[in-house]
Amino acid sequence: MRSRVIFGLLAVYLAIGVAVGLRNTALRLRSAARSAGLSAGEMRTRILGAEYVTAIERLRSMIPVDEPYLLREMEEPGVILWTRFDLLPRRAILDIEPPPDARSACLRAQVRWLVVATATRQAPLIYERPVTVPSGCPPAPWRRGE
Amino acid sequence: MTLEAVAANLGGVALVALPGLGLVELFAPLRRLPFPSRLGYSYLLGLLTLGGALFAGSHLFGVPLRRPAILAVALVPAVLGLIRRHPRVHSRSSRWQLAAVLCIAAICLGPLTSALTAPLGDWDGRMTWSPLAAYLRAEGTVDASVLQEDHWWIVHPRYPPLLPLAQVAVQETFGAGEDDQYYRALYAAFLPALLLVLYDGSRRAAGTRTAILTTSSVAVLPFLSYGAGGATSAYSDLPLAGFYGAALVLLLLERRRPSAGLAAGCMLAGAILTKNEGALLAIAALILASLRLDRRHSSWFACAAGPALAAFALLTSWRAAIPNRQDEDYFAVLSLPELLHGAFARLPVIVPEILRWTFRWSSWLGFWILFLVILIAGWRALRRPDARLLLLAGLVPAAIGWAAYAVSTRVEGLMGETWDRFLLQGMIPLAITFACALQKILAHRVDFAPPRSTYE
Repeated sequence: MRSRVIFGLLAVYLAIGVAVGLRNTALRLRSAARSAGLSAGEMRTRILGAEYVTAIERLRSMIPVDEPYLLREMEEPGVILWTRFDLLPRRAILDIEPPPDARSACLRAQVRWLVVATATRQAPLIYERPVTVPSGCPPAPWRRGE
Repeated sequence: MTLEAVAANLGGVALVALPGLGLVELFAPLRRLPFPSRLGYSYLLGLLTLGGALFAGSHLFGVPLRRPAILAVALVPAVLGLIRRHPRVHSRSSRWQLAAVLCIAAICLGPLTSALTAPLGDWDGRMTWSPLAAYLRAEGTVDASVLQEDHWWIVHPRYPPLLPLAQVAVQETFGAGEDDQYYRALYAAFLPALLLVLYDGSRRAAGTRTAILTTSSVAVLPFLSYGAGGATSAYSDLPLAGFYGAALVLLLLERRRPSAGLAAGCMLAGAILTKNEGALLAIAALILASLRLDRRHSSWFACAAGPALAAFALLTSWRAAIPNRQDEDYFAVLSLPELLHGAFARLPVIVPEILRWTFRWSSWLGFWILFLVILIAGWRALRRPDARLLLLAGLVPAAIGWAAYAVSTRVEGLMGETWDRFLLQGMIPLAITFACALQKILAHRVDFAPPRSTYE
C-alpha cells in the first residue's frame, strides 16, 4: 500500500515535471525559430534595446581596447556591472570620491574617459576628460607610448 | 542565432568533451562504463584537462593562452584515448527507459536553445566569470595585470579561474568577436553531464530502473535549466555540483583501487579550481572517504588526495600575486564564536528564508517535499553506510551556506541569491540517497530489485 502511494506521488510529480520541462523547451524552440539567422549584434538589439546597444557601440568606438575608463553609476545599483560587461576587455577604474590613495589619484588624472551607467537598458553616458600628469606622478602605463 | 554561432558553440562542447573521452581510457573504473555514463565523466575530466593544463602552463611556464596551446592541450589526450581504446560494455534498454531518455534529452534541449539564442543575462556571469575570461583572453595569461594591480575594478579577483579558462579556450579557438558568446553551450552542457553522472551513481547504488526514475526527477527541475546557477547561466555552480558529485560516486560507490582514487582526485581538483566552496567540499569528501580507509587501501586514498592537493597549491600560488578587493572574504571575517552565535541567534531569520526558497514551486516543483517523503518512507536505506555518507555529503554545501549566513552582514539578500545554489551543489549525493530510499520502498516489486553492492 505504502509503495503504491509513493509510486503514485512520484508518477504525478514526473507527469507535471515532464510537462513543464517540455513546455519550456517548446517555448525556447519557438523563440529560436523566430530569431534564426540573426547575428549576435542583432540579437542584442532585440533583447537589450536599440538605444542601449547603439550607445555601447559608440563607446566601444571611442575608447580604444587598451585604454582604461573611469566608471560611475547613477541611482540604479549594480547597473555599472552591465555597462562594464559590454565594454570588455577594456579596463575600468571605479570613480569614487575621494580616490583611496595618492597612487590612485595619479592614475585617475591620466584617464581620458568617464563612463556613467544610467539605468538598465538605458544608454550610458560618456565624457572626455582633460588628461594631465600631476606633478610627482609617473606617466600611467597606457600613456607611455604617447 | 546564426549557423556559424551554433557550430562554434557545439565545437566548444567538443573541445571539452574530446580530451575527456581520451582521458577516461586511463581510468579503469570509468573506461568500462557504457558510453552515456562515460560521457558525463568525460565532460568533467575534459574541462579539468583543458582549463587545468592552461592554468598550470600559463602560471608556471608562461605559456600564452592562444590557439596553439589550446589545441595541443585538447588534442593530445583525445589522440591518446583513440590509441588506448578498450573493449566496451553494451547494455540493453527497455522501451520505457528509451522514452525516459528521450524526455530528458528534450528537456535539456530547452536550456541549450536558450543559451544559443539569448545574450548572457545573469548576474554573476556578467559580474564575475565572463569578465575574468575576457581579461585573461585579452592579456593571454592567467597572471593578468588587471588582477594583480589593485586600482582596476574587478569583482572577486581571486575566484578560481577554471571555467573562465575553458571559456577563453572556446572563444580563442573559434575566434569569437566582441559580441560573440561561443561559450554558452559549454555551460549548458554541464546539465546533461550532471544527469549522466547522477544516473551512474544512482544505478550503482539502487539499480537501473530506480536510477532512471531518479535522474528523470532531477532533470525536470526548472532551477537546473533556467535558474541563476543553472544551465542557461554562466555561473560555476552546475560544474561544481558535477565535480563534487562525480568525486563522491567514485569515492563512496566504487571499489577502493588506486585508479578509482585518482579519478576521484581529479574530480576534487576540478571542484577546487571551479569555485571557492570547492576546497571545502573537497575536504569534506576526503573526510567522508577516509571512513572507508584501512591499511590495505592507503594508496587509494593517497591517489584521491594527491590531485586535490596539487590543485590547491596551484590556486594558492596564483592567488598570492592578486590583491583581494570587491569580495566578501568570509574566511577573513570568520571566527568560531561569531559563527556559533550567528548560526543560532539568526535562526528566526535563516529558517523561514530557507523554507521559502527550498519549497519554491517555480524553481523546484515540489521536489524537496517528494525527497523528504521518500526519505522518511524509505529510511531503512540509511542503514547502508554508503547511503548515510552520501546524505551527509549532500548536506555539506547547505552547512557551508548556513555558516555564511551566520556571519554575513546582509543575510536575507545573500540567502535569496545563494540558497538554491547550495542545494544544487549537493544535488548528486542527495539524489543518490533519494534513489536508495526509493529502491527500498519499491524493492518488493520484482523489477526494482537491488543492485549488486560495490561497498566493501
